[in-house]
Amino acid sequence: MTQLDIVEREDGDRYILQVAGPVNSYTYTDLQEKMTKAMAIAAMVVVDLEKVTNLSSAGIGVLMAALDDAEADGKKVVLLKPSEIARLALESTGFAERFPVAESLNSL
Amino acid sequence: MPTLPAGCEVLSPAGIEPADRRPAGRGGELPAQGERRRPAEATEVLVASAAGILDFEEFIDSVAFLSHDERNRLKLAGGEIFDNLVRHAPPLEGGSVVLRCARRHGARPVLAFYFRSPVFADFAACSSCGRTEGWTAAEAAGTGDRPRAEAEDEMAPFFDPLIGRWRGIGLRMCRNLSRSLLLRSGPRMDRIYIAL
Repeated sequence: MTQLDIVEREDGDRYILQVAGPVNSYTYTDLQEKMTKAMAIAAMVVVDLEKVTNLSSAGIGVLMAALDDAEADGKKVVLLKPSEIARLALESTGFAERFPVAESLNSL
Repeated sequence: MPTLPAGCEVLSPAGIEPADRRPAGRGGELPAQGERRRPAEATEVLVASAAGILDFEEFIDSVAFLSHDERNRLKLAGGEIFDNLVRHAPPLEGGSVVLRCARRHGARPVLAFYFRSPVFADFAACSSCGRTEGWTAAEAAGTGDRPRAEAEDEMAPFFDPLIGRWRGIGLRMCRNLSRSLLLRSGPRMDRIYIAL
């Protein structure tokens, strides 16, 4: 899969972004735009990373900025079921503990 | 059609056997039983453009001799290198970057980037990963101690309010995902090696 595909949906007061494909320097702006939109309208943004095939520093930067904004605004950003490579990417930054991670929507 | 930078040929760092002279192409394979053992390798020439990152990922996915974990690590660390080359090293001679992924007899894989940039020598000279002299065999094979930067956190990630984004994440990822990251600038070409 070479293209990033992001499906958006609202679920009560949660906004869910289902991300599939590579989040890299070429595609991350799509995630950035959808995160900005989601952060503006929802108290909790859930980013489903189960089908992510790459997560570059550009993508992680988007998630970290969103996390910072959420903390400042009293909102929440949660990563849902990160794929193996997404987990590895987050761990390699040393900031993995900053991100709330859930294994299912029901657990939120 | 991308071309090799002038004077560019696939070379091996000291300690790795001379590169196989097969034509460049994707998908290195492990030697069959009984076949003379030689380093497994795969090479590819990529256009140095933002969209080239997609071809980079495709190349890493095509290298047959990588384990799942090695593939993930090289895709993450190598992608950061490729992205930085495209953003900060232009104009690259020939508008291309040559990739070579190799594994020497059971050792950890090494991913090399070959290119020619007018600005890389200065960057390599001031980087803690940069070298102007040769490697030790252990470093080249990725079997030695991981060279530690004199100041490991000289570029710790930080949020840059001027541009509204985090900086330094990619460098930290590269260091944490690899055993060594070496930059080398020479008279004929520039090179970056990631050893897992």
